[in-house]
Amino acid sequence: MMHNFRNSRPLLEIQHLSYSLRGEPILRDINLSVQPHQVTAIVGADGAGKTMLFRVLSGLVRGASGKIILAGEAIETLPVWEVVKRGLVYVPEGMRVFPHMSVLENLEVGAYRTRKGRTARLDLVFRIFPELRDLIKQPAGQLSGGQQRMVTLGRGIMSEPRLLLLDEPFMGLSPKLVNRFCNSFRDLSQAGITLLISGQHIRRVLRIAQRGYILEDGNITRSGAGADLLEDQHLQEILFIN
Amino acid sequence: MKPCLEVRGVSKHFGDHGVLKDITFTLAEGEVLGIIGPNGAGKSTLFNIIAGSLSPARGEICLWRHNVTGWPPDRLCRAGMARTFQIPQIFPEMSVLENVMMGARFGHESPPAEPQVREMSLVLLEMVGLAGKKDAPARKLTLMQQRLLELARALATGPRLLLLDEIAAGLSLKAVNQLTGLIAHLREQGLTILLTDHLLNLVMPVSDRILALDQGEIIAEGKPQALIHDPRVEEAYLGTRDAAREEG
Repeated sequence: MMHNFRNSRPLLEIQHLSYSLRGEPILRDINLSVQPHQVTAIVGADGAGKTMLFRVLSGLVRGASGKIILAGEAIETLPVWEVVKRGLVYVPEGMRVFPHMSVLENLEVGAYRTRKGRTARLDLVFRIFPELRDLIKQPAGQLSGGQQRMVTLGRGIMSEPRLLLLDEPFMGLSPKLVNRFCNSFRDLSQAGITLLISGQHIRRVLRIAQRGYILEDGNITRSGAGADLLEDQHLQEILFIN
Repeated sequence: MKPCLEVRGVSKHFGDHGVLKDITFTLAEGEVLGIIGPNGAGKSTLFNIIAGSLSPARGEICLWRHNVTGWPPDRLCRAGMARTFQIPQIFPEMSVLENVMMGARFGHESPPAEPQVREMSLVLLEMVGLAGKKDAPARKLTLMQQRLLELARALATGPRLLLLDEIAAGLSLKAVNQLTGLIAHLREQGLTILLTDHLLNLVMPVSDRILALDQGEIIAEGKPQALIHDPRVEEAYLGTRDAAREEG
C-alpha cells in the first residue's frame, strides 16, 4: 500500500541534521518528515543513532547543525522545556518512573507545564491504560515493568503532546503486552497525537507505521511506507539476516 | 542428573502483594532453563532472590546441594554463580579490558595472579568478539557490545552457573542471533544457564526446558515447543498463536 505524503504539511521536518560527539559523527545529514496524526517509525541496528536523534530533537542534546522545524517553527536552538511547551515530548527507553511517588503523582509530573486540560488528559491516559486508574495511590516503583511503562507513556501524554517521541517502547514487554501497546499507539494516533517511534521490534513497529525510515550509522538509508519497508531486502540484511 | 540449583518453596511479598507463591524447581548441571512470563509475573524477583539481591520470605535456595539462602551476591559469585543485568552494569570510564579484569580479579575464591587475570580476560574478549575494542572506554560501546562485555565479565569470575537477565532486550534480531550462537557455545562448554527474556527467538532455541510464570506461580513447565503451545501460556503470555513469529 502506498501513501501520498505530500498532501499535508509535516508536523516535524528535519533538514540536514548532523551531530558529532568528540569529533566522531553520530548523525549525518538527516532529512526526514513526520506527518500529523500518523505513526512514523525509525528503525536501525543497535548503535545506529536512534536515541541520539531523539535526544537532539527533544533538546536534551544541543550543538547539532541543520534545522528542526516543528509546525513551521525552528526549534533546534530552544531549550528542552521550550520544546516541550511547543508539544514535542520525548519518552525515553526504560521504566523511568519516580519510584517512591504514587502513580498519580508520576502522571501529574507530566502536567507540570499547564494544569489546563489536565482532567481530560488524565481521562485519555485512563482510557488507554484503564488499569492505572486502580493503581493511582500505589508507589510507582512497586508496579510491574509493563505497568511502569504505562506510567512513563501516561506521563508523556499528560504533557499535552502534539508529537510523542517513543524510544524503544516495547523493550522488556511480554509479547501479549507488545500487542496491547500497538493498539494503544493506534488509539493515541486517533486521539490526535502524532507518534515517532524507534524500536527493535521491527516488524511490529513498521506494521503500525504509515511511514518508516531506516537509520544506519547515523544516515537515513531508506524510507517508505512501513509495510513496504518490511519487504525491503536491505532491511532484511542489516537487521534480520546473520 | 546432578542438581545445580534447587529452588524450594520460595515465596515473596511486597506489602500485601504476593509476588512469588511457593516456587519450586530444579536446574540440573549443564542444563539451560528459560523462564518466561508476562510483566509482573515475578521473574525479576525470582532472579534477584536466586542471585542474592533479595531474601525470600519463605523457602530455600540450594546450590550444588548447599543451602545458600540469604547469601549476598559477592559470596554467591565466589561460590560459582555469575549474572548479567537487563541494563548493563558496566564501569563506564574503565577500558573494556579493565572491566573484564575486574571480574577475574574479584570473582574467584582465590584470586588468580595478575598475568593470568589479563590473559584470561583477553581470551574472553576474543570469545565474545570485543578483542578489537579492548582499550576503548566501556561507555563508548553500543548496547549489544555492553551486553557482551557484561557477559565476558561474568564469565571471568569462572562461574558454573550463569544467570542471564533479559540479555536480548532492545537488540536487533541479527544481534539476538549472535547471542543465541554464543549461549549455545557456552552450553556446549558445560555451563549451566538460567535465563529470562521476552524474545522467544532467543529463549526457544537455547533452552532445554522452559518454565512459565504468571502472577507469582508456575503455570507450565516443559520442552520449548510443547510449552509454547500450552493454552495457559498462550493466554497469559503470548496473546496470539503467532506471537512467537512476531518478535522481530
